[in-house]
Amino acid sequence: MPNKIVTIQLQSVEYGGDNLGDDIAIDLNIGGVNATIRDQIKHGATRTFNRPLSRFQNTNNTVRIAVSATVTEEDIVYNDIGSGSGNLTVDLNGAANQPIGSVKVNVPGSGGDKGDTGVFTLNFTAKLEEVYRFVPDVSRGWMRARIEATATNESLPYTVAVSYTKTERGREYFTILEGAHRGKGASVSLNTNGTSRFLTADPRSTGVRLRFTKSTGALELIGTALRYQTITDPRNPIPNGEWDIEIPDYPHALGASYEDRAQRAKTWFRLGHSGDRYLHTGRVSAGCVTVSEVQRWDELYARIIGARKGDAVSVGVLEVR
Amino acid sequence: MRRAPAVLLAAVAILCGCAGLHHIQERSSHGSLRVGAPIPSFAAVTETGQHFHSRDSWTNLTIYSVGQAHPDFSLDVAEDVSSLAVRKMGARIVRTRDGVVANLFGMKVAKEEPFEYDTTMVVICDTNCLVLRIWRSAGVEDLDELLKQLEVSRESSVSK
Repeated sequence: MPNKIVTIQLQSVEYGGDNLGDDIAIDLNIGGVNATIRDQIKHGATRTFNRPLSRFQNTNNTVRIAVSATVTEEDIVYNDIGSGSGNLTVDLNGAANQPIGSVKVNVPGSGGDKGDTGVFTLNFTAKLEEVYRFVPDVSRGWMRARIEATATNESLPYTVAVSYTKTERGREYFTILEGAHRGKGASVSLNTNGTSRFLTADPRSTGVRLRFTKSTGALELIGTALRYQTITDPRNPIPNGEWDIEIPDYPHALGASYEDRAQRAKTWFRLGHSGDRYLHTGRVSAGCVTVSEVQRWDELYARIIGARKGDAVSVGVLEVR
Repeated sequence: MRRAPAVLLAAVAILCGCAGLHHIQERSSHGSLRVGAPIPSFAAVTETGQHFHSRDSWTNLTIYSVGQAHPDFSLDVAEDVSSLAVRKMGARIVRTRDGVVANLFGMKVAKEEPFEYDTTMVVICDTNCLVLRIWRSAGVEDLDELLKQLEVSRESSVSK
């Protein structure tokens, strides 16, 4: 079953038939939503609008929407007015941008234009967006899910976006859209009261930028006054430059000894997209950037867990100097 | 006749000592550790803010004890060392429960709540940070006996 946000757009208006003038007003009713467009359209031309008219969420395979239109060529004395109606059909399993039909409106002339008929063709498109849901903040930031292809259980970090697919036999099925398991189909059981485990409100924000100065061990969250003391192994230092900070990959059991002071101590953020350098908390570093202020780790975690760089993999960038 | 109880006591003491250590397994390697090789490189900061590096040479032995009952990372030197034998040797003790060290030493998290490793480890390094001995299932309470073994083996290697 699809679950999409549908945006109906007036894509374009073709002005054919006879020339009635170019001051055009279009009054539309799209599935009960009214909209008016006023613009100059030259006779014989096709004017592109791509104007969103209505937006709604739907879970059916196809949606039929009734549309009615009144087109007026506005004159000082006599307006030329015509109406038309039709149905638009949206295929929710179809393309993200799809034509969904046209409505033809014949506008008979009046006054000096009497006997002429302008023909306006209104072309509509639909834009489809996935309905995202988000991993909730459970079990210290990790929700267990079954990866369908391998029938294995994996942990997904708080804030990761998923695309809902279906609910069947007490389980919600979805595709993971971000992080280490992106692209995989997975499922979780519903809550005991039959409701979804997922968040519907987007907890994510724009990417963060951190700066790590090796000589002082200071880690700064750029744009804020937040600064943390860290340790790193000077015999195995992280090279200078910019490192993507990844969405957490899995709960690191090695952080468990700090959970009495930092609830999110098992959440480590990999630096770069390969290797085993991480941003994490603790008192020992073997080449990672280790936040030694353990009791402040949850504060830093809260600032970066929902941040997104925009590549579906990273929360932001660490600048090392 | 008076010697008999003393001999008996000595035998019991030896047996108890052996019984106390029988669970300890000496290893030639464990995780990233290898006897004769440098200890894995890591930096740490103690709970008092003191900086430590595993590869910084020191004037005497460094003893690592890793287990869930220890502090995050502590470094005991001279009079801070509780073990008399260790103090006599002039060694220092690192006690840690940190997961990075545990991982380098080949330990695994057996249980997360309550937090527990699959074993405890004692590792001794010389002044150049080379690993001298690795003991699995050993703790600070075993140090006096383990150091005796170390002394004996050193003496025997010298006498050879």
